[in-house]
Amino acid sequence: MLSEKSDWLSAASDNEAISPEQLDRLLQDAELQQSFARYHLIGAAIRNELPAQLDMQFADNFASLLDQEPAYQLEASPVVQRQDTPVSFWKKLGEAANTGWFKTGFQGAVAASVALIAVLGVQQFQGAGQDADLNSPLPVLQTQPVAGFATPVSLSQTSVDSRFEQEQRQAMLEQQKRLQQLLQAHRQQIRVMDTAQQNTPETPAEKPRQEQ
Amino acid sequence: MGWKGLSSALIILFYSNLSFAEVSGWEWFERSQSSVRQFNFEASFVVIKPNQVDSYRWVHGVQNDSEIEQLMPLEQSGVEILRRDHMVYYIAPEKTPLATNSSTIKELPALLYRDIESIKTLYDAVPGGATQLSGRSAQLLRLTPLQNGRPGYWLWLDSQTGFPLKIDTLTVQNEVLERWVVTHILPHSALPETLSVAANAELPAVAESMPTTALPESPLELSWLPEGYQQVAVTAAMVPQQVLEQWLLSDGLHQVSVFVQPSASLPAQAFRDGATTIFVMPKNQFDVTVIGPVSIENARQIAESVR
Repeated sequence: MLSEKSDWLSAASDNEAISPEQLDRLLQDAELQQSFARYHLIGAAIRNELPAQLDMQFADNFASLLDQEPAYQLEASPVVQRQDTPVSFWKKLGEAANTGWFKTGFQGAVAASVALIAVLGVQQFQGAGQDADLNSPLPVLQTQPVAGFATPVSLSQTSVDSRFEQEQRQAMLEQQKRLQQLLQAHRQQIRVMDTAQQNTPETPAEKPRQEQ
Repeated sequence: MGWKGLSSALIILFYSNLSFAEVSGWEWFERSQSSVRQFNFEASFVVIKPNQVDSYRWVHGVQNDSEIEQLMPLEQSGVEILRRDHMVYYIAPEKTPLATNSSTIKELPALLYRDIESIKTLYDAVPGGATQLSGRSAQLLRLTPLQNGRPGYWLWLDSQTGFPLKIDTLTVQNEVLERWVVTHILPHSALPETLSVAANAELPAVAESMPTTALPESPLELSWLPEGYQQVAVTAAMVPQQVLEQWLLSDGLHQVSVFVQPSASLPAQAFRDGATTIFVMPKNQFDVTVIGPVSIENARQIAESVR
């Protein structure tokens, strides 16, 4: 609605005709008048028709506006400042890392950890190799399936699986949709329940309250 | 002999305690019920379900002895609900508003509006301790169902005014199914200004007359109802098209719908939407769906009783 409003307004500022209703609105609405003036200013700027002398009071006006702005308290609370300490510790650590003795020590630590990972990795690899040896003779070299149909079967199986899943998902979605509809119908019945009861006063609906 | 006397004294003590608790429990409940009817207020509340949170704005006012109440969903583009005394209007964009006869907005907790005597036949009210809730002192009130199958309710009421601040709906095992929490409340001395438009708006004074065409006769019937429930008239115009039969059951506080549809060959399933159980059961060439705040066991029994 807003863009529609500004459309005819901007057209009007380009000397297009406007209807009497629109003119009436423009005459009554101060906000519209402001945007009308703004559109003219924009047009003038585009056409290079701005006055050479800009409003010299602009900076002063702006400064006074800034003064009128309410000042919000945004100072850091002491709690936040206290939290700064660990950060500065890491900073110190970073600075220390560039000093001579620390550098050597750090590099040593890195080397040690690499060695540790290497040892662990090899051990694990060996373990896996031994296990595999027990089960099948050539576990690593067997890149091709033993029989020709192995690959297509496994492929088709996955596609059947996914197709089945898809069907299942479809059925579930439909089920959800159906239940949503019934839930809505249930709520709707509750909404009109009292009206229905008034229309058919002979129903035993009101009775249970008094009976029990 | 001695222990008999002791036990009878204990029993007397127990009963006197119980009756005392019962009275003040229902007194609390009555205060809470009248507060939502008499106060002028603007409030916001959220309804929390396991996989969903809905928030609403709720404005209520009294003017010249007539109540005006408005309920607006804050997030989804749902219907806006307006009540003026005994007329409730459902106003949705791009739809003709629905006018119904009702002295309550059904989307608000029914507990706060139903006749207290009918609730007494279903529940026992026991006040709990006072706690702090959203900066106010709140009194806990437990409503325990007298029969299994109905949900329990824990209400936290403002200690000064009795206004409900939080309502938990629980299973028999005290697991929370649904939580209703007031997040903000602003009391007014007179009718809230936001309602003045609604108070004077021109709206139909008579409820929409539903076409009275009955559902096509079906050979099916419901042979078992949970204790306290009665069958209630169903508005046929509101029954979805593929539904062969719908029954509506009510115990004065809760409503349960039973739908019969052509089979979609799906296994029996149970879902929960907050406190509402949705139970689907295939039966010969039909699917029976039970929707309502009953336990799954009760829903199964209802579904099995369709013949």
